[in-house]
This record gives sequence, C-alpha cells and structure tokens, in this order.
Amino acid sequence: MESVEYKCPNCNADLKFNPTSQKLECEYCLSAFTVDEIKKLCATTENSIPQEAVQVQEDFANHTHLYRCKSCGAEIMADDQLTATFCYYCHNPVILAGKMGGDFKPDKVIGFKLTRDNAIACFKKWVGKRWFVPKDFKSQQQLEKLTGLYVPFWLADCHVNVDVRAIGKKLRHWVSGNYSYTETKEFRITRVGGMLTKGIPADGETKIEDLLMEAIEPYDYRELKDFSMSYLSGFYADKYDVDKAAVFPRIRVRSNQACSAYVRSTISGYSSIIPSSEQYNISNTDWRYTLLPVWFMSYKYKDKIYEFAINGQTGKLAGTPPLSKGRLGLLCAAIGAALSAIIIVVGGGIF
Amino acid sequence: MKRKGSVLSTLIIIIGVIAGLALLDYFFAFHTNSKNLYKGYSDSSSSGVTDENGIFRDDPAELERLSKIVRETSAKLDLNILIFLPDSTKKYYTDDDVRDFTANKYNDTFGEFTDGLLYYIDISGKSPACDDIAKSGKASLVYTEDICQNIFYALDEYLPPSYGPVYPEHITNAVEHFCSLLETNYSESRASEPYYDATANVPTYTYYRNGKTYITKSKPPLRKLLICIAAEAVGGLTALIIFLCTKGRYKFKNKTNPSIYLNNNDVHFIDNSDVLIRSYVTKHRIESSSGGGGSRGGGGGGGHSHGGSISHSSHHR
Repeated sequence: MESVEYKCPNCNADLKFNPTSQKLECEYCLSAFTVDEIKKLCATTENSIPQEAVQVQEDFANHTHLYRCKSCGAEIMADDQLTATFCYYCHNPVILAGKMGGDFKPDKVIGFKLTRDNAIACFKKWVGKRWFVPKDFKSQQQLEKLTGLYVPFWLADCHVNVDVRAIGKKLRHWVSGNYSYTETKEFRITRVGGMLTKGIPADGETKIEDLLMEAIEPYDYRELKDFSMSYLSGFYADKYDVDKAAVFPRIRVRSNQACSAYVRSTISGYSSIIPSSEQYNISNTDWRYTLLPVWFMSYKYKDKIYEFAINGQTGKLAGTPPLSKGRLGLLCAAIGAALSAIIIVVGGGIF
Repeated sequence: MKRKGSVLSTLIIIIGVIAGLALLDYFFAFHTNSKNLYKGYSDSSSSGVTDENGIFRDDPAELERLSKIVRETSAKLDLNILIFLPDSTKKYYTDDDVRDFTANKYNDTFGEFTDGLLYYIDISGKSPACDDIAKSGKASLVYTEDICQNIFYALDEYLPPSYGPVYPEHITNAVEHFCSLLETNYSESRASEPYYDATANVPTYTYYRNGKTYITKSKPPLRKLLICIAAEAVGGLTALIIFLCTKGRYKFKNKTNPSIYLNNNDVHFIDNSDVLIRSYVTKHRIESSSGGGGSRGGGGGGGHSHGGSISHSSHHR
C-alpha cells in the first residue's frame, strides 16, 4: 500500500492528521487544513523541476565557495573570484569550507545600488549625531569593516482568509427641555474575504538580528531579478541557516498585522467597536528564496555585539549605537556638579 | 558573575561618591564659617529707663525705682534692657523711622552684637502710637515675634489710648509688667531657629550651637548643610535625568510597518457589510445645580518685624 505524505503549503514541513480536529496539522508553523483543502492545494502544485533550472543549480554549485568562521560559526558564500578573509560578523579569519550545494541557490536577487562610499557617508551622518559612542566606533579601522553582504531572505506571499465580526455603536446626543437624550445605533460589522500579503521578508540567517533586518525594509521588489552569479562579484553572501518553517511564525505575525490594520481602516465612524471574532488564517504561502543587498557592520563593545545595517538598495539605515557610559556619566556628573555649585554659592551654602 | 561584579563596582562607586559628598558637605557647613561677632552681656549698669519725654520730671525717685527694677531684670536675665520714653519731637516719626531709631539707640547704648533689647513706649503724641522692641543677640532668639506680639497685647491694658493724656502711673504699670513678662517668657531652650537680621548694616544670623550664641555674617552650619544637600540632590537628579534621556537615544527604535506588504488590489471581500441591527434612545433628566453663595473673607493685617525690632501700632485703645 502506498503511503501519501502531504507537505504544508506554508512551510513545506510534513503534515500530520489530528483525529481530534479532523485536520492535517503542521507542527512547525501550526497551520491546519482540512483534507479537502489540502487535496485541492496539492493538485495545483508543480512537482517537476525544469531542465534549465537544474543547469543553473549546477552552475551555482560549481562556482560558489563556502567559507566558515571558526569563531562564530557564520557561513559566507562568495564567488570563486573573491576570497573571503574575515568574517563580516565577528571579524575573525574564515576558512574555505568547500563548495556550495545547489540547494542553496537563491531564486531571486536585488543587486547593490549603494556604493561603499555612499554607505560610509550614510554611516558618518548617522554616527555624527551621537556624541557618546566610543571613539574607535568612528575610526577608519571600523569603517573598513563595513561589508557589502547579500543577506538570504525568504519572501512570502501569504493568502489570508479573513473573517472579522464586530458590533459597532454610533451615538448621538441632544438636549430637549430638562432632558438629555442619547440615541444609540448598533451595527453588525462583517468583513469576510481573502487578502494577499506580498513579499513579506524574513531573513534566513540567525547571526543578524531580525529586528535590524526588518528596520531597513522595504526593498523595491520591482528590481528583483533572477539569480545570477554575476551579482555576487565583489560582495559576500550569507548562507541561510533558517528554513521556511522556522521563519513562518514571524511571517504570519506580520501578515496578520498587515491584514488587521487594513480591516481596521475599513471600519470607521463608530463611537465604539466591540469585536466578537477576528480570524486571519493563512491558507497558502508562496516562497521565494532571495538575496537582498545590505551594507553591514558589527562592533564589539564591552562583550556585546552592536549591529549596524544599511539597505543596499534604498540607503535606509538602522542600528544600535554603542553608548560609552563612562563619557556620558562624566558629562552628566560635570553638569550636576556645576549646577550644585551654583546653587550652593547663590544659596549661601559656603560663605 | 561578570554582571554581579559590575553591579558591585557600581555600588562601591556610588557609596564612595556619597561618602565624598558627605565629607565635602561637612567641611563646607562646619569649617567655612565667618567670624563670630557675638559680644554677649557685660553688666546691668547701662540698663534702665530713659525718660526723654520728661513724664517723671516731677518724680525722679519713681523713675529711679523703675530703672532699678529694669536693672534687676537685666541682671537676672543676662540681657541689656532699656525702656525709652520719647518726647514730642518724635511725634512725626513714621513706623520705619521708629524702628530705625530703636535699633540705632540700642546699638549706641549697649553696642552692636550684644545681648539685650530696647522697649520704645510711644508717648510722643503720635497717633496711632507705634511701640517697638529692638532686640539684639540672645534676645532675638528668646523673644520671638509671637512672644513680642503677646507682650504688646498684654501691655495694651496698662497703656493709655493714643489720643488721650499719659500719666506716670500708666508708664509705671507698663514697665513693671514688661519686666515681669520678660522674665516669664524667658527660655533659652525655645530658641532653636536661627534669627536673620536683614536690616542691620551688615545682615547677620544669630543662632545657638553647642550651648553658645553665634552672630555671623554666614548662614548657620545646619542651614548650610541643608543647602549643600539640596543642591547636590538637584544636581544629582539633573545629571540622572540627562543620563537617562541620552541613554534612551541610544536604543534601537526603527520598525517597518507591515501594512506596506498589502495592496488594496489584493483585498477581496466577499462580505463587507455594516448592518443596522438595533436602535434605541435613552433620556436623562438634567439635574439643575443651584450654586451656594460663597463668602469672601477679608484679609487681616499682620504685624511685621523690621530689623531687630518688633513694632506694634494697635495699643493705646
């Protein structure tokens, strides 16, 4: 007897049948589907890989070197023309670990538009407003650590079934004679339908802080191109170490937030709204494994890694500036002491 | 372990800073005082009653008797005491003139920074009369403003009205009761608050410390200590606020709104409805609030001190 295994349409993990709910459930991303739903979805799935795609995968495998940082475990890809010498993250030397497998070949890529000089100018402008960063954070040596890096992202197009129901109240007040009147109108609000959130990105990389990558969004997907080795030339690329199933919860949260915000924007004119049910179920997700350009820099200060990133396409930057508490403390103490001295002298505390 | 060590070192630094500030405060408060100008009390020989008015012209024995009472009280209390009876030339003195006169008269008679007081009984014919007590040294601490006012009220009983004639017996009664009141109100332990004389040629502070009287141009040590502590608290708080505000600017703040990933074209509602299900009207009677009549109290006048003196204008009913 042939056993049939169904894959989760959202994260590609194995689905298991739950007798209690009578649904096929994914234990990774917690999606649930009826048997009918999954059969319908699987019927449209393309299982075969075109011949030209196989060729591109082989090309990728033959011309991509994988470097591994012994210190922090980061895995960096570079084309065979570029030799990676240090880890972009912890700045320790890296070693050649071998060729990349064709499975890691990205589907899409956005090339760098921001040059290194542009990125340095962005960084200098950003750091110039912060007086209390450690001195060497602004040094030339530190600027040299700014690395052009293709970060692996999972771009998810989520098909969301929305079912929101609520009671809305409209109030109208008026006064007549000695009485104050309040008219209350109650409405049944229903929003049922489908939404498609397109291209929500989640970095497939554990080293870089997720929030940092979210902060430099958005990328202009109109410039998405099919992956070609030529984009890697002169830059490094990170190898994903987080798969679709692992990033799906983050994607789902952001997708639900987007849908929820949209639904809320369609409900207006009420004095109060009492929600009775609010459901956002992702029925299907289309994935694209994509490399997105990031100028990245990390800085170790007092045993803590501070990360700084610039969107290599738009120039949007984000990061946590390190704070030299000693310098700030000294300035605050000087201000406090000066203020105290003035009060003591004016108040006659000494003479 | 590392964090524990860091907390400990921060704690040690804080304790060190507090200890350093405490030492500094102690030094500022107790070792930066200006010279003690206090001269104290020598004897009762200059105390007595000065009858410029000449009310006892016909009875010098009575004047001498009153002066003797005053000298006895002076010796008992270790305070110079002078009772001054002005003549009609001071009839046109303003209240401030009276206060200046009593303060200067005291200084001329007993010297600055000595212990004592001068009681000016206004029998010059000025209406309303303005009695005044000029105090110096220990007397400033013992006979507070409240006590002086009480003395004035008590003596009103014995003094004639401003517009009426003054007889020697009025003054006799007033002087005897004044000396008696000085004795009954005398209590060194009462004077815990420093006395500040802003109208002296050089403003001074009079205060007790360790059983000794001090008159200094600088503030009393405890007051200086309080100023130092308050100044450090304000400075410390300001420093802390600046530190926390600046630190807050060194946090990661950016976050991209996920709504950008949902286009209007990708929304397809199959049910997008707002259906009226019920409507009702409620009514409430408006409570009429009748405002109660308010009353406005008239402000009362108050006595005030000037220089080392307390004056009183309401006697001589």
